Amino acid sequence: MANDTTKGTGRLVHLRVKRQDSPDLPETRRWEEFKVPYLPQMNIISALQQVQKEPRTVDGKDVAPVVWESSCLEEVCGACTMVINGRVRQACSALVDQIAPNGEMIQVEPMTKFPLVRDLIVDRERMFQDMKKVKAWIDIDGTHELGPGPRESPEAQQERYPLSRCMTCGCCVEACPQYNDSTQFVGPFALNLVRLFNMHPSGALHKNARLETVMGEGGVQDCGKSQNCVEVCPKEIPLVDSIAQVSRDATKRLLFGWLLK
Amino acid sequence: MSEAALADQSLFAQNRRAFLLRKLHSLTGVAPVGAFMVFHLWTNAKALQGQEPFDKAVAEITHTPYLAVLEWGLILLPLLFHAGYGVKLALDAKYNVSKYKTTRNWAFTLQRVTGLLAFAFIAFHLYEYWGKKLAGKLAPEQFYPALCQNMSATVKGIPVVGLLYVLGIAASVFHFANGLWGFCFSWGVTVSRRSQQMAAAVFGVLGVAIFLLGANTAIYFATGSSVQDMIFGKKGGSDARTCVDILQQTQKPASVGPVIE
Repeated sequence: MANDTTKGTGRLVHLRVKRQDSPDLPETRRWEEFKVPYLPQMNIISALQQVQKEPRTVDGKDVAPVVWESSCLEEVCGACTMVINGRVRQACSALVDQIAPNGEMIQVEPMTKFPLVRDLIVDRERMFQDMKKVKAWIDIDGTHELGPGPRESPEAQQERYPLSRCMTCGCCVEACPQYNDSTQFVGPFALNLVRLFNMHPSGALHKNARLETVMGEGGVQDCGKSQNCVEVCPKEIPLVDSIAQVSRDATKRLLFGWLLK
Repeated sequence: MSEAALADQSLFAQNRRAFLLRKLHSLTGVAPVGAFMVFHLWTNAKALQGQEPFDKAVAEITHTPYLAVLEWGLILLPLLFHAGYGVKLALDAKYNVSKYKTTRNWAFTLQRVTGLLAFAFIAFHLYEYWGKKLAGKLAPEQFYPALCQNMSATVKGIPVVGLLYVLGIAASVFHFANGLWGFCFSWGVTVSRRSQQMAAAVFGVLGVAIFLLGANTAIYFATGSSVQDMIFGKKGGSDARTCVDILQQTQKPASVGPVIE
């Protein structure tokens, strides 16, 4: 095994990549296979970098290098999210030693819920629109001094922190059967943000405005309860708890909101 | 907040429609549709005691005041809405249980599959009995013999219609039990994962019980003996006419027929 981890032992990493040259060229959709030299601690990004160095398929055909997005390389930015061996995750934390310890073929595809840009790059604009839709921010217009914010207990902080770990990577919506072209569902991450900002002492001032947004088209009612989101979330955010909490708040508002106005 | 934003908060605002329809869909599934199914399966179980008690129960329902209003208002229209909107929901989903094989994702998928199966089964069942009753082709006191004959008719030794009923009841009851679980989630009754697990166990047991209640009657009609008859042996002493009596009467001419020529 020691020899395996040194360069030049002949150990190869076998990649099968789904490719497409541009969004308007669906006829260029194809699978290409590459075998690249193994490097110690290799992840899918460094495997793709090896492909980039010498983009030649296993059939010996020279092709354009595979393109992908990545930034932080430590699973906090979400840019390199893709479907690896049929499961959505970040390419940077997908270690070759773990997913293909015996040189198994690794299948790499772009996410399916977003418009394709090229090869493994997709346009996650819809997630940004979802966040705008649910007012995932705290209103501070900056025109005058507001003084220090309200004090917060360590307990509330502990509850809110895990919810704030979302990096908008898209794993939850990729695995969600309800997030697709037929629905306008805002997705688990956006509902989690509604809970997060509604729990914030300043954000709570606009709690009802946020609830109203998720009681509209594509709101919390579109959750199909498959609970895939929480299974795939790399940041282990309790997404199902958040959706259930927002559901409860929406139900309360449906049943009593109009009576109390 | 602006005037437009306030107008959006009205219960019947245009953008609130999807939310209200989805809530109505969830509510109608529990009551009246689901509640009626349980009542219906309970009434049907009187068939195990023979034709007279069954006819008495049927007559009691037939002579309910405002029967047509109740039938349409409390059963058929809610059922039609639930089924119609449910088909839309089933078509909207992008299924991925082959990739993400979790229990809840299976439940999500099966909820939609059993919904469609139950829709087909109930349409067939309504045509067979309620439709023929309305058309004057089947009097209420003919239900019992018709049920005995239809459901015990065999193709290559298999009571096909009886089996269809057992499967139809299984699909409907799964849809109901899992639907109750979903109702508790989406209305904010079960917010924590723990309460959701407990609800799953409770509704699981309830579902099995309702299925046994319904399937036993179908098995009785199909084979002439209920499950308890098969286990503990048949108890004599009742004067009521049973399926066995009815089938013997109707089969006599058939078996004598060829001899006469």
